[in-house]
Amino acid sequence: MNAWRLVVAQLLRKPLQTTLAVVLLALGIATLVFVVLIQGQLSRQMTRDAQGIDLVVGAKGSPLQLVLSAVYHVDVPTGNVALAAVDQLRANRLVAQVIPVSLGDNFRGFRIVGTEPALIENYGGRLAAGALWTAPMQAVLGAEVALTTGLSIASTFAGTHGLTEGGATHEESMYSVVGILTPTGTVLDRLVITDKSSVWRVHEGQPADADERAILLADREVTALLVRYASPLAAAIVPRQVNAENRLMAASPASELARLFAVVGVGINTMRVFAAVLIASSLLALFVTLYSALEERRYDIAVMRLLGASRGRIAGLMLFEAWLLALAAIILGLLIGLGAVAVVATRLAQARAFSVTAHVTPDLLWIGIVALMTSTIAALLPAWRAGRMDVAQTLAKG
Amino acid sequence: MLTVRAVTHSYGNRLVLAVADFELARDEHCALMGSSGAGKTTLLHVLAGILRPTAGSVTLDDEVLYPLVERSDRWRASRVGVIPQMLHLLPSLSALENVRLAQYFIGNDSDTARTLLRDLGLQAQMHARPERLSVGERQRVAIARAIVNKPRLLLADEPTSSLDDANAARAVELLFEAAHMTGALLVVATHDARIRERFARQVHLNRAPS
Repeated sequence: MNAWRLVVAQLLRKPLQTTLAVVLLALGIATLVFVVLIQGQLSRQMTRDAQGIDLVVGAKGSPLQLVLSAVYHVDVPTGNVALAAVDQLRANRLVAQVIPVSLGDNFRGFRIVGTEPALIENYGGRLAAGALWTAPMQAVLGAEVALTTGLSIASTFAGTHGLTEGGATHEESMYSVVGILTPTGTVLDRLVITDKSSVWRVHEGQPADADERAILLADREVTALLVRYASPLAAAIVPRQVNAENRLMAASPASELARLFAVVGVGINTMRVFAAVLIASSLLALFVTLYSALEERRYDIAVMRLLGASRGRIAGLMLFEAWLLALAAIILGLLIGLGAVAVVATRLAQARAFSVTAHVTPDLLWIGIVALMTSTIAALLPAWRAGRMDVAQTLAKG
Repeated sequence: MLTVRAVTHSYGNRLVLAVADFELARDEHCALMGSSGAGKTTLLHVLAGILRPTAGSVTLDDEVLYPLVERSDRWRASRVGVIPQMLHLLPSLSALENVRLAQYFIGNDSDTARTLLRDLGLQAQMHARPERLSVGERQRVAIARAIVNKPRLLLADEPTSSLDDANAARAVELLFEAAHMTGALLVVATHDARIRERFARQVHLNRAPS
């Protein structure tokens, strides 16, 4: 006989009530786990993906769309930018770096990005195998791309037109894989990176003569420019300079991100409130379970006192009972929450968008501690009443 | 040896118990007789240490139970075994676990519970829940629970009230046997005239004057 066996036996006497209290608390905890994990990972990842990018320059349109398309690669671009804009920005003394980005095709949903090696450097990408491209139509694969598609060095593949799967395939222009990157935990993992001229070549075809070549050259464009400032002062000046241009728009990832989270935050807060309501009602259920148990078990409690259990011991057993319920709920809630995150992670991976993983983080420890503390509070009054019960009076009645 | 001196108990202004002094030797098993309302259960609870009397003193083997001392729950439970009238076995525990519960709360981790149940003829019912046991079997489990810690005083409240003649006689013999096994002094509160003859010593309680 020990406290463990005793409390479990008491809980199993009312399996329905016990289960209800556990499941309610578990659902509340699961919701909280889900919100904390998804929100934490998404915001961390979005911040990481925007590292080293102070400004995105693209065609006029929605600034949020520009950032989502050029930095996070989850939206369609707003339009194109003349190649001349690259040189113009590079000449600006307030600008430290300009990385051109050309979009248009994908391979099995992974975007093919025509750019310069600086993009890989920006995310700290290192080659796991092979080398960087030296000529057009050579591609370097992000870690996740290589893993998902199974392509390896010297494999060839054709891009599909458009940014999502299902477009026309550019069968006539095959890419060959020359390098594979190590995982960086950024958007880079989900990109096929190539020289910016590859994208032009795929879409221009072979020019018929020198005149046509000249026309094509003059028309060359990129989708967007990722700009890093040379000094903090640039933040006040460069966007204005860019926006003054007829066809150009400047968008700051940091402020667009803040706007996005302000909108999404409403939804997240709603879920948090929902979780709080669930937890509060589950604690009420816990309280009712324990309190009604007092009445049902008053002879049990009296007999335990008769057998030498002190008031504190009785109260302690009741608290232990609440902790055991909370512990069961925490474990169940954690499993449900992690399961839900895993489902979302799979969906996101299929959509080639953000990568989230279902894993235990220190934030979750806090959820556990809060659940234990609140269940203690719910058990305090029943425990106190159990300890205060008058043994002689109870036994005399029955 | 049990000594009871000038014990009275009142709830508010209502006097419910006034006992004439008595003294019992170790083997002087005793029946507390009296009509219902005479305070038999109240006196039993006083002797069990779970009800502090309004006045008076109780001493068990030269250790003072009342007044002036604050004995721990463990202290009294290891010296006094009680068989409540309704037995009150914990329904969620097996017969063996019910007996072990008494050991658990006073920190007695010997394996006497099993032996005791076997001696009481409950070998086969050891792991059964109380609801699966007969009245007589349940009573034996309650007896085992009361004596598992080898108390000096064994108290039983109306142990025969719901039994027929044959079973009542058997229950009383069992109580004597249990007291003998542990060397405890047996005090039985009863209004059952059938068993009074069995006790050499009887203490009569009269309804307290109100």
